[in-house]
Amino acid sequence: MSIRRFLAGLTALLLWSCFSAARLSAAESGTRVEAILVWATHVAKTNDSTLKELEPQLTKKLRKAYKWDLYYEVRRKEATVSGKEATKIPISEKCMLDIKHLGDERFEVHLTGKGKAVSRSVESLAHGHIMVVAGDDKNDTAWLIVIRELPAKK
Amino acid sequence: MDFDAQLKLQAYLDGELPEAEAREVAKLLAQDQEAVLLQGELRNTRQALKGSEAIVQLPESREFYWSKIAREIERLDRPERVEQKRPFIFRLQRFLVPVTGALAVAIFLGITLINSSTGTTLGETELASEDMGAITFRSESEGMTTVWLYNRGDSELSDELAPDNVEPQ
Repeated sequence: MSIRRFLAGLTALLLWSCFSAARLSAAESGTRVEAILVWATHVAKTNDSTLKELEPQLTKKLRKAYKWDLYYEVRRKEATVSGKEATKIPISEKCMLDIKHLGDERFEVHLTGKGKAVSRSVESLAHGHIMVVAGDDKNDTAWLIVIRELPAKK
Repeated sequence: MDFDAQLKLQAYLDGELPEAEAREVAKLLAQDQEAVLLQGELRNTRQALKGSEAIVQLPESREFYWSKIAREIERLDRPERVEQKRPFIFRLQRFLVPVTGALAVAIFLGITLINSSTGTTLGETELASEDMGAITFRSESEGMTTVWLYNRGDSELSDELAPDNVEPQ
């Protein structure tokens, strides 16, 4: 092995260490995340002022995945989550999300309903990937919680 | 009787002489008693060797056997490599390369362990209650992962999971 190769390897190792450290630091400093409570239905609810139609891009995505045609936004919450401790996001009166940034754009999502732990999921929200925690609701409707990473504020 | 004559006599006995020389040796034998005695001695010796000479069988072909000997002679004839005195940095490199390699592996493992210290795997879902079930499907092309929660006993009960006020009253 020549001395040049040795030095190149050492430099690469140092750069990689710095990169890894920077990523860990980013995970600890905080990432903006959005949670949207969505109601999926076949029947239009035009007379309810509390509901508004979900943004078209997201609706299109959900329509591709699920059977429902209409998607209404019930609530939208933004929060900064870090790797130190889970950030609580109250998505409704009795439903809570606890989100923790694990680094590498991986997020741990705890769902609590009526004070009781329901589920824990780990997902990557890299490159616009969204996570949907959902379940059936009355009258062939469904509730969906869309979780996605927001671009960093400048 | 000189040495050349002795050699010729030996060659005569072996039948290796040309006709003219062979005649000369025969003539010598007719005249020289010493030559006759030597001839007898050589004949006896040849007779004795014929019966006792061991025939050596080579384990490989004749060409290969000799090529091995030639290679060994070449190797012995080659001048010994003189160990050059290298600069200090090159000698240090011998020590540094394995140490740096080990250090790199240690750093890599350390950072990997720190990253995985939470013990989480992508796409995993855990449920708090055994009565509940979850179906997770991930689509890279759609950029979307769904965790669909349901009640194992009765799908109607999954309504209870619904966040309040989702459905308008």
